[in-house]
Amino acid sequence: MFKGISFRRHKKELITLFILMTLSIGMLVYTAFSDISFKPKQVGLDFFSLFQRGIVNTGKFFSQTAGSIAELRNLKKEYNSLLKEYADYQQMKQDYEQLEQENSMLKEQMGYLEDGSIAKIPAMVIGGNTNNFFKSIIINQGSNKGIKKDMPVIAYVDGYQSLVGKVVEISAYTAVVKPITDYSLYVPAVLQKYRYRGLVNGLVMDFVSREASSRIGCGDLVVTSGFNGSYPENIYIGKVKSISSKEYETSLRLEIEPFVDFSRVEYVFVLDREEKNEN
Amino acid sequence: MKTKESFFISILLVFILVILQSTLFYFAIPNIVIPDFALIVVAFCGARRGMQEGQVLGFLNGLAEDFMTASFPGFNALVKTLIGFLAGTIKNKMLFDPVIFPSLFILFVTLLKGILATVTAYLFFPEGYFPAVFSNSFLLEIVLNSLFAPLIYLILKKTHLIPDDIWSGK
Repeated sequence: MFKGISFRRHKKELITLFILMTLSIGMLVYTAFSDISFKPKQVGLDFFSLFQRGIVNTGKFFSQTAGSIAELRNLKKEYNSLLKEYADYQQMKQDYEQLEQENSMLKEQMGYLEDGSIAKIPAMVIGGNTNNFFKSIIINQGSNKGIKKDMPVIAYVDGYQSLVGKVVEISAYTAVVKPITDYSLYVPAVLQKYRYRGLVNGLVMDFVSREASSRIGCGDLVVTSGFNGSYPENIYIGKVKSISSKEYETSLRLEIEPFVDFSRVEYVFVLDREEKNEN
Repeated sequence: MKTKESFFISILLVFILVILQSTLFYFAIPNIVIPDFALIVVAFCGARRGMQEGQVLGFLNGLAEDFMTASFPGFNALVKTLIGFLAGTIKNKMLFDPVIFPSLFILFVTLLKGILATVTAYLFFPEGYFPAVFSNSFLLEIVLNSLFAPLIYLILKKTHLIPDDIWSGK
């Protein structure tokens, strides 16, 4: 294949290749080994996000319009059944208020603090992976809303705060989130029930004490430990899918099934601890 | 279609494909590996138009991906530039049938992408940033790219975005 590439015959092509490779390697070295953000990337991110927003919003408009026609048919049926349910809920509401009062009293007695120390910035997912090497999620909020690099990102799954990942790139109106499925992301975690600590990386929890093997099992919940402060504690990561370890190893290796379905997540919240603390 | 004109349309097509890969395809086919359509276009354009156009198209494709992913800028640009250039080295040296050769060619190109990505990451990435290149999803991507290759080859040929081969007599 390369037999025919002579410098004389392909001078122009080889010079172009040299220039393009120098540009690529220059960008790569600059960003990989320095903490300074790469301005052209932020501008590019904003530029492409315009199209991404356009496509996502257009798609949503059509799917919602088509959906609303079918929805009208079901509304009448649902209305009647909801009336019946409403009566039940009235009773439940009374019970709930009573329980809430009891709960807050108990919390006060046990010395718990309310989790009001973190501000949540809502954002919509406007894009995702363009290739399979780097998993990423693109959201429609950026530095204009106070989003900063390394901020944790969560989503609500069945009412529970579940970890999505962290912000790795920001432009004025867009941010790129690296999901916890990525192998370069490390999340300090703990098994919710038995409090064994470990480190989640690419949906595998490592460094879990071998002592845990007799107590833990598949289905146990894994949450953030809050260790080293990079992620707030008690955010759900997933549940244990399988447990393995080699004889000579001192720790267990837990495979985790995440709570968040990364390909279906539509809305997320970026956690801003500074904002609330300042307030 | 004039050469320059069709080259600019190819650039536009690659940008559109990158945006679609990150939006429509991403939302439409959840949990499934998305084929790298832009790579297929780069490889075919390179193979038919030559090294110069292949590498420029590859560079722009990679740069667009770099802007939209969590990768370090330059990573995809470098990988795709080399792919475009190497694909260009077979210009007028291979005879493309409608199905088998395009499939095999793209299978080889996707595999090459994996190898180049691994070497680039090994050389330039800081410790702990190694992307999962040879994973199950990448193997699936190789298969999907090869399956879609004949269709994309046909579309590019019919729209004259790639010229006929020198043996076709046109």
